[in-house]
Amino acid sequence: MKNSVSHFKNHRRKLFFLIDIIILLILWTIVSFSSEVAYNYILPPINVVFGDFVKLIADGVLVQHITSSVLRTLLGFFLAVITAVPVGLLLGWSERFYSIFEPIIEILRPISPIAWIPLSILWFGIGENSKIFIIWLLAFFFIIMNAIHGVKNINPNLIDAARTLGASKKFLFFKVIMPAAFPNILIGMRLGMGVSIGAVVIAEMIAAKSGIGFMMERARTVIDPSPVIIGLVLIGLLGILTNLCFVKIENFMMKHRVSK
Amino acid sequence: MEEIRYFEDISFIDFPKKKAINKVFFLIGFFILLVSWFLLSEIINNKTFLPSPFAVVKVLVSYIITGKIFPHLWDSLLRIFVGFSLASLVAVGIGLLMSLSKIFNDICEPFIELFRPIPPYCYISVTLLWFGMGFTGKIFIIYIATFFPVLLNTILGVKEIDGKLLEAAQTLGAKKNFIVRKVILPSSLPSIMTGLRLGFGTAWLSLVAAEMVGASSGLGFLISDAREFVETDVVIMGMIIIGLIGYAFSVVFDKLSHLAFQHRRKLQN
Amino acid sequence: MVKKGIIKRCIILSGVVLMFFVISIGFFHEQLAAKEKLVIKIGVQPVILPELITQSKGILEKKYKNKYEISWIEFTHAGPGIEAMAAGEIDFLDAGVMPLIQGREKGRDYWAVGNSIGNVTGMVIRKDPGIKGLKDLKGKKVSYPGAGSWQYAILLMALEKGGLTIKDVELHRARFPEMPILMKKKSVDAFVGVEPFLSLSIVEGDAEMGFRPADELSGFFVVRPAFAKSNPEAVTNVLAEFHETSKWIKSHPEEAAEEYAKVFKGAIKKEVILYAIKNGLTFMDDIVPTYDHWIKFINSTNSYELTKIADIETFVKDFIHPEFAKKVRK
Repeated sequence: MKNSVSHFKNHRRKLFFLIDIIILLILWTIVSFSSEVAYNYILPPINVVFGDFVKLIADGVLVQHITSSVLRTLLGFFLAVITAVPVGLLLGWSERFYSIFEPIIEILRPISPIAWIPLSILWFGIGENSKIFIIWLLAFFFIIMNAIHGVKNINPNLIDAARTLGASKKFLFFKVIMPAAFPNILIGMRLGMGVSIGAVVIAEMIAAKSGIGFMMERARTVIDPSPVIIGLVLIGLLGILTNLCFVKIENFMMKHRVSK
Repeated sequence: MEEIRYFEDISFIDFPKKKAINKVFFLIGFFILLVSWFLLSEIINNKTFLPSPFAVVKVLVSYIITGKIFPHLWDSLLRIFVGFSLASLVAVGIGLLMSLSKIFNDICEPFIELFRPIPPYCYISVTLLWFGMGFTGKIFIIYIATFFPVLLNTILGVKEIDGKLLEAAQTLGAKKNFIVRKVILPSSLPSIMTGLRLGFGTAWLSLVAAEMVGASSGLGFLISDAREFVETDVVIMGMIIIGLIGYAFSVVFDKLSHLAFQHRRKLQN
Repeated sequence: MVKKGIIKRCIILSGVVLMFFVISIGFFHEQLAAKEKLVIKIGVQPVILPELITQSKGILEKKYKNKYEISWIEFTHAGPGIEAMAAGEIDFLDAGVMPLIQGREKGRDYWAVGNSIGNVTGMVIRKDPGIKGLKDLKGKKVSYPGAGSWQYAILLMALEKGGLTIKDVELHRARFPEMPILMKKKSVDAFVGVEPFLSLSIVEGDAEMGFRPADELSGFFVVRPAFAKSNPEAVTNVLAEFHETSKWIKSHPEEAAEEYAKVFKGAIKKEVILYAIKNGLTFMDDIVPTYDHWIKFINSTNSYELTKIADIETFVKDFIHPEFAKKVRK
């Protein structure tokens, strides 16, 4: 009984997804043909944009730009994970360290990474490093806050039980705290990734030599509307894709834990 | 769409804070920043690259006295007020609808998932061409920036409501309208407040960015105009004002959130 | 129990680490690899400049195949290009006169070594029965790129010619590519911008030329001083090729427009570019920059309060280095 209901709901969701895409395409066409300016300079009709899309792929240009953006994001993200996870676990566990670092975190955290972009370009130039820095900054705060939260929320009975059974500090850290905080860390990663794609595109629009944002900005300079639209669609799709990936990973980890 | 808990709302969790020490640290840090700014500006000794803090204060005072700052301040604040209020109302409304009706949720979700990753900054050039340089264009940008955080946090807020609370209300024979008004709204308020705070932050930055590009007034315009003349002191003054306004609003939202949180606590008891 | 989970995660983690290591090495390979030939990094913008054709025809690469390795880096406008040069990321750049002066005022160090193109700027007025000349712009909306620009000075000159002042018009700031679109939408009545956007409005029938400054030199090749000091011959060689391309564009406008159309790919079609080449832009006969011209120019920007250069002569002597261009054979 339960299975057939969720089955139906799944089908319904997929159906609505399709319906929504069709609605979007219809709206696109309406806006496109609403004026000469829209048709030529803002939102060309679907066939024109698609044609330009195919040309960009054939030239190999689009793939290069997408790869640039994605690699930067992944690299920055990776750096954020290896720095934020250990620090976050430590800060969550040790009250002393937390109180030392809290003011720094509280001051830096509300400043949007977007505001850091000009500074990053000043420090790192227009190459890869300035983008990687922004992604690192963004993901670092997401992951560290969730890691701290994850550790602080661990059931204290669990820790007491482990201690009574004679667990060493090392065992406690690696086999109890880390696995318990893991789901929170994953959520932090997923949320961070969601915002990262937009952030890297903005950084690329301001100063870069390649990437989706760069492609969009250059197209704007020569009044070529198609790449701008293609870029927007790509950002949306990449967002959905990365979110799905993380949800799959989270579900996998959940199953893993439940079976224990 | 799964949990959309942004990291900011962790501030609601009671981390044992040593508040007094924090304030002292903050003041010390601020002081160090000011002094190092002054020293650095003296060392560099190039007022188009880094003016001294006194120069910035001087230009701020002159802008206030001559009244030059006020039209820009007013225009930016008006735009953010109108756009933010509009977008928040719509977002909370749609958020509530989406939480209450599964069908409505399934209809809206694909649109939201597709457009959410796109930052408002990317819409600026398209908006300028479509709407022109006027008020409407700025409102649109603010709208996009505010909409998603508020919407998602509204949905999260409703999701978080203690099921028992809803059950209790239903057993007591309350009508749906009553439940929405007196139970769901207050309970989800803290989360909505988080969304508003996040949304405002993004909207404020996006507005400044839009004003830098296509406007004839506003704080963003002020900064980019000064930059053209390499009036770095005005640029820094503008940045500080923008930062202060952003900070002021986040403090306001913070206070409101805590109030809402306490309200929810009262309701649960 | 928990052990199995940890081991699995460690394996996955190390696999991921390895993958990223490999990817990042490949990514940064070009920065690590050693070079034998002289690497010349040239900054270009998607504007009608001679070196875009030098680039698309691969002239430098063919002629100096064994001596130089050319790297073309695109910028959307002059600002980031100037910053990149200041950071040592590019060696050559072609940029507009105002961004260049402002960059030097900010303390960026580069040398102007050659004249690029002229007559990039102008003011176009919307085709409208109610607007017949400059004086009819009173109370009308005018688009401009910003108060510190050379275009703003052109606007002041144009208004002066029509007997108006800046207070007589309604100013709207916009970026260059947006101006012809706003014009088409009738959101503005005039704009002061650059080619090819002026020609776009004219060819589309939305506007006609209202004002063009006389004898305007707009674009200049600048070079990174460290690079120029250690490779003076390369500077001369590159300038020589750009100059040859300029001459070719003048003699073969149709083919030049074809080449540019390949680069732009947007709403700016070949006929617009051809119109700009024939009616607007000037490709320099003489590539050698002169002190006198710059001194005159800065005097005028100072008078419009666009710049605040006190000692003009020293400024110009530090900035302009004609020695490289002088070696280019006509």
